[in-house]
Parts: sequence; structure tokens; C-alpha cells
Amino acid sequence: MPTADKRKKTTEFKKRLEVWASPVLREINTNLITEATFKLPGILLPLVETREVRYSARTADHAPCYELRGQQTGVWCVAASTEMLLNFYRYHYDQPRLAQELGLGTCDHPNGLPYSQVNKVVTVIEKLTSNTLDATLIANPGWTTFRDEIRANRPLISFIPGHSRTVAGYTSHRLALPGELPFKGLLVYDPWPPTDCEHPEDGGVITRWENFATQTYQYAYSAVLKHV
Amino acid sequence: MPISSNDSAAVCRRARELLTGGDFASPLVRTAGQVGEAVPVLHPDGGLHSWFVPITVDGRIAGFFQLLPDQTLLRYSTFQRHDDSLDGCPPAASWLDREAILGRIHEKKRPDETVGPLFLSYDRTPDRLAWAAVLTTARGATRTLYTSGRAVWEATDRTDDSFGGPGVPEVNRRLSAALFGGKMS
Repeated sequence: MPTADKRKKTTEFKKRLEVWASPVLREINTNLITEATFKLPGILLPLVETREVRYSARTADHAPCYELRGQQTGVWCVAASTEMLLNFYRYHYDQPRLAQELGLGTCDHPNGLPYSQVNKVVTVIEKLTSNTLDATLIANPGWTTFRDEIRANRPLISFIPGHSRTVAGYTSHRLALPGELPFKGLLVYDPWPPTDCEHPEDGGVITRWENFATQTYQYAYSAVLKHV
Repeated sequence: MPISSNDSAAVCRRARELLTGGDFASPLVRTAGQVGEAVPVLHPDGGLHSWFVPITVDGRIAGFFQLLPDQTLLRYSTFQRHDDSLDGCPPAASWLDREAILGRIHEKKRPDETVGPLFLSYDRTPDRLAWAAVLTTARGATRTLYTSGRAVWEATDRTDDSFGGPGVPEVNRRLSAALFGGKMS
């Protein structure tokens, strides 16, 4: 760890220790957090955890860094999703080229990705990055799959039944009303609605947030940058 | 399930609460956004799936909430590419003006077809929202046309065997039948 980072983290850690060492905070019953707990001096409980992929893992230095790509035909959601993920790593293949690699036809005669060929996404990502990215297909991804990848500053491709998008962030609430689960949401870069090959700059929406409890997550693709 | 104006009003109230009180829209949309009339999103077979509540700013559609009939939030989606700008947000009419949308459907109508009522629906999955209309020939044959964004396309038989839409239909059908019993969900 660079010396400056180490010094900063050590200072912050010592400050936290000092706060928690106070007699008032040491007597908090963590089994029952009441309203009074939030009024204690020196305490700051984050009620929401939110993260987005950024230029680098040093979140203090860089702003969120991810771009939306609309699908250029009604059936090229997989090509658009692959384009978004590769763009994050600065690989700029246009969508017709990616569609060709994925076997999705042409602008005039496009087709979707058959369920039987889901592994093709892995093959294409690795081929087009000369194996610099190590892609993995994850079946039935859970919340922690998405959360952990975003924490590692890596976007994912997300397949739901019949459609493909990418995920570049999450939010997780720690409190909920009685009888409800705390809200968990994903930041989804969705290539739908479609545009066309003459207008690649259009199309798509950014979903902030997609209610994790109401969606069916079929597959996810992670892509890990290999280091030497 | 019959849809009442009370349902629509309640959904709009919920959307307004989420817009002003939640961490969904950008500050620009949170302060200047107008909550539009809720539009029912119907299953292709006609039942109510969810509600689409548009948020407009200066004649553009900046985003929308999609809520289940019990007002559970499905998502808030925005057309904004940048929080402080409406560049890239389509004119509200392209999503909300039924006459303009029907015009796109009519462009693809065959001479012997009549166009049925327009309804908001989805193609394959509720994330792929699209306006739809059923076209009927004099002989009674029907087909459904969808339109979303720039595109107008015809509904296919719902084999659900690919991501994005039909692949090579016969090959896909045989493969998915062999692998997954013909359907995955």
C-alpha cells in the first residue's frame, strides 16, 4: 500500500477507535438500536450503502465512470451489453462488429442470442481483449454477486429472462418499515428501448434503481482484469 | 382486473412521493419534474402487469417509474445521460402522444388491415416496454405490432428461446427443447 494511503487509513482508524472508546458508546446495546442511539454525540450510522463503478478503485479521487449504449436493433441487447462492459475497459468495438462475433447477424438481418449459446459471451469478451479480461458466467446470481463485483469496481452483464443489461452500481438500505425488507436496488444500464444502426448514440435507459426483490436474475457475467 | 381512475391517482401519488423523497431521480428532475398520468402496462394477453408513470421536464420525458398494481416499486429509469442535462431525453410526445405513436404503427400497416386500440405493453419481458396494437385483416387474421423508440416490429410467437429476440427459430426451438424443455424462466 502506498505510504500516503497507509498513513491516511491509520489516522482514520485511530479516530474511529477514539470515538468508540467513549463511555457512552461502549454501553450501546447492539441487539436493540433505538431512536436514542442515533442522537448520541459522535455517532454516525450509515443508513444506506451506495456504490457505483468508477475510473479507479480510489473513490476519493474519481467520479462515477460508465456509459450507456442503446441496442441498435430490437434483438441486440446482448451485443449492446457486451459493448458497455468492454467500453469500461477502453475497448471500443462497434455494435455491428460485436454482433458479428456473437453470431447475432447484421443490422438488416439481426437475431437474438440462443439460450444454448450463453457461453459465447465469455468467449467473445476474452477473444476481443486478447485474454486481458478473464470473463466468467455465473448462473442464478444473488445479491452478493453483484455487490462484491461492484465493490471490486467491476461492472457486470446481467441476463434476465429474454433480455440482457449491465449493472454498474447498487444501493442497500439498512432500515425498513416494520414487516418490510430493507430496499436493495441495482444501478442498471439497460440498452432498451432500441435505436438503429444509423443512430448509435440513442436508445437505452439508466435504471436507478431496479428493485432487486422484484427481478429474476438468470445469469451474470463478471470480467476480471488480469495483472502480470 | 378492472382498472379504475382511483388506482391511477393512487399510483401517481406514490410516484410523486418517490420522486421527491427518494434517491431515484437527478436533482434537476427532482425539482423540475412533472408527474404525468399513470399508464397501465398490460400483459400481451390483456391483464394488468404494472403502471408506467412518466416524469416530464420542459416537454421531454426525463424518466419514468414502473410500479406493480400494489404500488411496489419495480424501477425508476431515466433517459438522461448526465444528471444536469436533458440532452438525449426524447420528446414526451414520442412516448405519450397516442396519435403520434399510432402514426408509427400505421406506417407499417398493410392495406387490408385495420388497427385496433393502442395499449402499453412489453415484448418478451416487462423491462422491454413497448406500445402495441393488434392489426386485423378482413379475413380475421391478426398480428401485433410493437413500437418503442425508433423501432416498429411485429410480435413473434413467444418461444422465449433467446436473449433479445428470436434467433434462427427452428434450430433454437429444437435446441432449447432438448436442453430446457423448450422454455427457461
